[in-house]
Amino acid sequence: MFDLDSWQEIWITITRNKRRSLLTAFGVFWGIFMLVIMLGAGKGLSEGIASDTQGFSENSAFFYTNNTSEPYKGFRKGRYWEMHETDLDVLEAQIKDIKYTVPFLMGPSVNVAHSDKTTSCRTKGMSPLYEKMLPQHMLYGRYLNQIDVNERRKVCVVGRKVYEELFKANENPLGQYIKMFNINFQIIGIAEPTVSGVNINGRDDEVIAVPYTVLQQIYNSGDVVHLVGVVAQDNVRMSQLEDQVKTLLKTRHNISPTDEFAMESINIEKIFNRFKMLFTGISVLIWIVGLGTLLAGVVGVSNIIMVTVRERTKEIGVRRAIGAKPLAIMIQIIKESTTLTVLAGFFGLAFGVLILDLVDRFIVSNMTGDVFFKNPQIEFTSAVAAALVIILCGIMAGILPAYRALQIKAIDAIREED
Amino acid sequence: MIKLQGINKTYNNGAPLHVLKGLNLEIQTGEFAAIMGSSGSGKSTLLNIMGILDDYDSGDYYLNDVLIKDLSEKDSAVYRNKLIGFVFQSFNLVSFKNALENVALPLYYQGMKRSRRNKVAMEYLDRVGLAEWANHLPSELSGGQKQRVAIARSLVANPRIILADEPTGALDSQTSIEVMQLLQEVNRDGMTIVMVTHDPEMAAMSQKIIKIRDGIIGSIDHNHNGKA
Repeated sequence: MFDLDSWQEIWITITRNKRRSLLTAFGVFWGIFMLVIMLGAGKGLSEGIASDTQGFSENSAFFYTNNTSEPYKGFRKGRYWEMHETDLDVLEAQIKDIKYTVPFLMGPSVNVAHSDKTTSCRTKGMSPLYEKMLPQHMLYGRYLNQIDVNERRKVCVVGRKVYEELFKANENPLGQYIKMFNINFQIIGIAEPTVSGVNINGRDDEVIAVPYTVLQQIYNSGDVVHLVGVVAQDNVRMSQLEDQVKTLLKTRHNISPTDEFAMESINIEKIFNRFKMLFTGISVLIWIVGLGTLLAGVVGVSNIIMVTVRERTKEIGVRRAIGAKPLAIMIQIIKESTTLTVLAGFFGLAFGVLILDLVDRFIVSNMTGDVFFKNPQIEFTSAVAAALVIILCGIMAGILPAYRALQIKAIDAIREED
Repeated sequence: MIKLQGINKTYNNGAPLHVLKGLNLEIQTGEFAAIMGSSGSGKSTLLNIMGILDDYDSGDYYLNDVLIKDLSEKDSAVYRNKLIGFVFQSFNLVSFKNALENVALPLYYQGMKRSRRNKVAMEYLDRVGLAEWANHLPSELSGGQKQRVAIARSLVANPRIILADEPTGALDSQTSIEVMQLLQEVNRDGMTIVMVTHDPEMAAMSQKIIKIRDGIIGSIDHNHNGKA
């Protein structure tokens, strides 16, 4: 049902005072433009952060020990205690909701030498399960495996930055030896973390990882582990397990159940949730501010349509006199406001998307280093939502002027003094 | 055609003003009546009531044997569209529509298709002698031409009655006579016309001169020259 006359009329009304319509339309244009830009920026920010943490087993926590802060079962307070590998076995055996546990040892900073080059870096005693928890990007070779651990092989996975300091560019390090702890370690892989947002005891590209059993052997520390990573089953939330794990470990080591200080944990799930909430908050804020800006534009449209209704009082009166039904007048006014709003709004939408695309293409894509900003685009659903909001706003902007137009009676056309 | 019985109308703007005081009037089909009266006599109010532009407080108004009373806005719009053609003093053409579109407007509100209503409008425009001006905007027409376009517009929906409010009020005397002659022509074709005027010369060109005095009919003169 395309009514040419009706659209012609709308076009004439809008273009009759071009500058006024343009300025009014700019309000809506700007509102939508800002909304799109902010949505894009918000998405860029959240994707940037998300890509820093992607691949990490979110449903996990790390547990570590401190000196006790309460006396318990005859033990004095301030007692030093450590976790053992057996603790991991017991955890896995007794708490069915645990998917797997990962032992960590924190090694010291050491001087490392390869041929004529030396550097210093931290060392970590790792388990192959770590790679399952936090995927590693291997530039050369492989990560540690269970045989390395079981046989206490003197092998190591070198972080990318350490490798760059010890080797010539693009030199294949596999099978070569580096010297630390006065022991020669054979290089089996060069690693780079896929996730730069989560670090356990130093960034993976700045450390040397050796089998944790090797560190235990070097320090003659038996089966002590410094840090226990726990990954929960997929259908269980880590937060529900956290206290169970703590209670079990405390019981096994005669720590007071109320001693919060002796047994501490970092719950990755909680940290992730906090991030998620932060971004939900940001996106809510964006919509509020964006819609607020848009509302200002819509009020402008409403105002201008009101003025045109006033200007057309006599014309509308004549139309009523020659038989225009109230609904026809009302629809015409609402169509007018909707057209103006939708035109301006869709231009704003298109322009916003264009700017985001240009920013993505020429600025974000060329950013190097730690990128905290990625894909500043708006999602299709957001764009559809924005489009619907525009149309709704257009209709809303027309309601008040349309109501005003309905107040115009045919008799107003007759009154010659107007 | 028109039957008014005991029409009362009071305006309540500040001090109540009793304009029509139990007015009775009948106008037959095919008549050309002129309503005269001093300003404030209620002649415009009467025309507004006849045109369903204004309501009245008491009495009965029959138009084409239909009681016109307490109609909704929508119904009165439909009646105006089908039964009444308006001619105004200041023409009241839509400024951004050309002559043809202006004439076609009442048909547009009847929901007639564009090609058909333009064809009908063209016939009426031709009848008032302005076929070649069809694509001109009102601003490009003279006063007399504008009023002829307005008359074509009032006729296009084939109404039962034409109501003209000072149709010559904004025209010079020569054009006034031309417009009046056009209205006489329309009347000769059988259309009922009611015209409000204060100009005795124009009133003299109608068949029946109704004088309103203080809200009631003062006198009705039959004018046999009107048909000439």
